[in-house]
Amino acid sequence: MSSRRSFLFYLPETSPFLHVNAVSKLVLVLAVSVAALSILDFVFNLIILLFATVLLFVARVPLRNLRMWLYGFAFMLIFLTTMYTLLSRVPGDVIYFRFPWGTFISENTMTRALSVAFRIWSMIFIALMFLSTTTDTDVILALAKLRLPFTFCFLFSLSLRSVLIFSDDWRTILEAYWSKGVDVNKGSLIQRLRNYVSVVIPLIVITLNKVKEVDFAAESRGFKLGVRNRTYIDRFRWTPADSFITAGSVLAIAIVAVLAFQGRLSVLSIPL
Amino acid sequence: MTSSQREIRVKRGVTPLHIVLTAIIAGVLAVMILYSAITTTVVPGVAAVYPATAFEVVFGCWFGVWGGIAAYIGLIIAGTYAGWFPLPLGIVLAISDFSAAVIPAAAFRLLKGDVGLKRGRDWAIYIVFGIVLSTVPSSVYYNLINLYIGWIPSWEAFWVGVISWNVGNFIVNTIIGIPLLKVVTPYVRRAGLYVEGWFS
Repeated sequence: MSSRRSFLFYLPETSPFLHVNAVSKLVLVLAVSVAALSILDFVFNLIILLFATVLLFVARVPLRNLRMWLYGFAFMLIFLTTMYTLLSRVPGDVIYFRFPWGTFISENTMTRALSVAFRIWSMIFIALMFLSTTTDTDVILALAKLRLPFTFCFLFSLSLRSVLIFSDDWRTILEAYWSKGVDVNKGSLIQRLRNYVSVVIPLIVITLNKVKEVDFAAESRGFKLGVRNRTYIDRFRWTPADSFITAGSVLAIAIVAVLAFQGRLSVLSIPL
Repeated sequence: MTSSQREIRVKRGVTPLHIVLTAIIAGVLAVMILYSAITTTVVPGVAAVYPATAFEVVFGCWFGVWGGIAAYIGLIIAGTYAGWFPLPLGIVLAISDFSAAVIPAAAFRLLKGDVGLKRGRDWAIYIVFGIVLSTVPSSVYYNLINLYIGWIPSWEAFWVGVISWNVGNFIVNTIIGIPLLKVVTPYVRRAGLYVEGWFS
């Protein structure tokens, strides 16, 4: 089965979101994030999380690739519930326990902690869907279509590509240390920070050399600041599915905005 | 002037080199943020020791506002890749890293300090603005946003986050920032990448 490389993984060509325009996916990300941030309610935040999870499955993102994020989710749940147990003042009818430092546990404490976790994770999942199904070329075309300056598109795209390049360099430097029998992760905190400096100095020198190489390459291919009306070898495609997704997302944002304007939503969680 | 002291002066004004420089150091910052091995979380979303902040401060000192923009983009990329925060929230949160880079950059440029830390005055600027003041506004801002969205549960947790953030950053800005400025600044100047003003 053929596959295509996105920002994060290789995805099968059969993934429907690979053929959706990056602009409509960005609007979808925005709509889910606005909804998640606008309402702090256990059931509503759970529904949004489930919606984002379903989209991840529809996008055919391989579950094994999400392992790191799922561990993070589990860790975050444990951490957040512990923090809310020890350091929160969520109002409720029944106070189960009051700590000497003034915080307390009510019947709503865990619900609030889980709502916050669902809120954050629905936004992370939808962003993952976007990054898993979008290539850097898609993003450049989308940003260009949104009339953003090419310099900005180039800056953003090169930043993303640099991450992959320097991840390899970072590993190479660490392996060089390990091959000499040096484990930079050992020792006291101060020692580890000092080891960190010795790893990072070569990385910075490599980086600065690469800056000049990339600058020569970019300028030799005609990259200039402030050039308008650039042409692109790839075509910007917009299908009825994109119109549907964009319209639905805009409608969702409008509904949330109207409800927020009418004061019907608990927009922010401000524990005082 | 010996060959080791020779500096290549870049032409004035913003050039494509600055865009390339910003993009690439944003990428390398994202890697440093992602692979910072010494990050133990104190309150949700806040690491006790966050070595990447030292690089943001140093890049700000070397590259001016470009260092700040790189810190901003670098945190957004790293946070979104690692799933620390969602993209729209990252756009708001990353202002903290921008300010951490720009405050020492502004201090060195306004007070005419030398980022190579050659005189007592340069040291004083770095200690006050690079180690202490660079992190205070960003820690308050970042934790306040987290408090408002419920990521941090109370004001008690907020202050735990702010204090641990600052103590951790004082340590890394001292242990990592000073050697980098002393050792690598001459190389940055020789390479013609040092940004003397705010943008060029």
